[in-house]
Amino acid sequence: MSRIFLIASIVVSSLCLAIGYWLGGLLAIALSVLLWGAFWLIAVRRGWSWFANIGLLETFSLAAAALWLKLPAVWMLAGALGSLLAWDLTAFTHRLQLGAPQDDLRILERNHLIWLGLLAGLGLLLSIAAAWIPLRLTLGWGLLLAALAGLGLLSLITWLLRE
Amino acid sequence: MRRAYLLGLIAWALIMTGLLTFRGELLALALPLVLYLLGGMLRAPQGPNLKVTHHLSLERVSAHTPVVVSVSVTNLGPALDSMLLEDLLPAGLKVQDGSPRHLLKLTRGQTFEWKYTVSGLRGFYPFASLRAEAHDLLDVVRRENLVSTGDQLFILPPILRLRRVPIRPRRTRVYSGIVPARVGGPGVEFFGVREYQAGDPQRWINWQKSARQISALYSNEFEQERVADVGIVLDGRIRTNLFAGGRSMFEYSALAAATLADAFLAQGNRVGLLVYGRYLEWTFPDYGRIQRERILRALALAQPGSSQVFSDLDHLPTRLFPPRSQIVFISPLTEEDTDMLTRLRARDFQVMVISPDPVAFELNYLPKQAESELAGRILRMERELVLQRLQRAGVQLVNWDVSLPFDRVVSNRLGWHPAWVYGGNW
Repeated sequence: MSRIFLIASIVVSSLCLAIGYWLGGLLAIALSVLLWGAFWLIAVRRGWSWFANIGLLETFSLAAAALWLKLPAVWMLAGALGSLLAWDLTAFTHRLQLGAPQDDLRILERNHLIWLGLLAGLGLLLSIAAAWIPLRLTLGWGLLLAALAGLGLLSLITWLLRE
Repeated sequence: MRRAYLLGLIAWALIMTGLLTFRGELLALALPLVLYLLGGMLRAPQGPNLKVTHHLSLERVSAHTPVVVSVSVTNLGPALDSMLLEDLLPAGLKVQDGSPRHLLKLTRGQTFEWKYTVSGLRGFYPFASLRAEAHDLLDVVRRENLVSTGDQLFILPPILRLRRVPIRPRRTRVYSGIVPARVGGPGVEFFGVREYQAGDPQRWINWQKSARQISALYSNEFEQERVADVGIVLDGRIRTNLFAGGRSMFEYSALAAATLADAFLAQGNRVGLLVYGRYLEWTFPDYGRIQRERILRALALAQPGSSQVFSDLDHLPTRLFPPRSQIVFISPLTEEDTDMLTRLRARDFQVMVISPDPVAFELNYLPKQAESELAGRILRMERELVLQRLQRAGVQLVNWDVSLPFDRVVSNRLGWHPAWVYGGNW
């Protein structure tokens, strides 16, 4: 089940990004994104789980670049979210292989997919809403939010290190 | 945890870029990542609080004997969404059936039990701990706990039954046994004739000798039989045991040591074991079944090794062995070893050398070609010279072609014969 979702996520991620670039008139990049998606599928087939990290980085970079170029945001956000799902499911399928054949892995798989689906749906809704709702930030607010973001991430890293 | 770092890094880069460039789309792009991290942290597990019972069906076995490992884990803490339990297997053991690792969900108070079967070669295998790794559903937060299990498995070398290994050291101990003591008294083997003493049984009287002497009666004297001190030296040097292609003769030497130790202890002797290799592993001499167990455990632990100090036999600590006792040296032998063994003979030790034949061993693995046959002949001649030198020094020698069973070779070579067969040499 997870494997099917993994492949679907990669396909959806690549297609969304490609459509976004194609709608923006950048056909060459759209084709290269499709090629990249095909390569990611091959990596999944070959069991190169490390490739998911590169895939995630690459997809978010492409999505960020597209948003910078004012290409259609929905496709980019959906593409980035797809790559996040693919990245997660790669690690999850890899972890499932650690279990013994007699383990009941379906419960773990079901719980994981439900939780991931919830977060993904919420993430997509929030990010699309954030991209569409116009909000003007003054320099002061911007600096304050930057400081908060920095502090938040610092505390997150500290917490993770402590754990 | 590296997963969370990667996500955190991408999210941080997007947020900072978005804020610095006033581009809200980039902040929106970071939102799924932040949500993912928060989702993981929201369901972060606490450190696993487990009660583990670990049991082996057998604790001392011979090689390749299946041992069933039973593990039971009870979760005493809160429910754990995803839990990886792994019984850390000592290196060298092979899983025959089942799995030492399980991935599952554990609710509060739930007990999970499983069994698996392992087997292995000679050695000591401590089951140190069980690794319990709890994750949240997204594997953002991981908590690990090592629970000590403390079981241990000894895979002992095989023991072949030898009926009797005749030895004849210069000095014996006071207790009665079956080693000829070179002293007259009650026994089985004829030793000499002496003047009749009051209390001698009538059947001991040597009537032929007494008939020739009018004034006195004479009695036969028999050789006393006692127990002896036996020191077994197992050569664990890599240079003598290891051959091309990583093939080792050490297992054969360990088998010989176990078999001989068992036979000597069964005869009532006091037996010690010295493993001479990377360092000196000395099992102090003693009698009986407990000593047999000690020696077998020492042999289970023994591994070939190399050391600058113990590369030759010059540092063999002869003071560990009682003077004039029996030493059994088990080694494929090198030419340099003859000097030390000859010196031991000169110091009145009785030396027996059990030598697994390295030439025959290595030739078995070589293709049957003219070159290898010629090399084999040369090596065999060299080895014959070494063996002859030892025999001339009065060393009792067993050259063991390891393709033949050890008990058969020893029975043929050292089987019981009357003392006169060996003359006075040993």
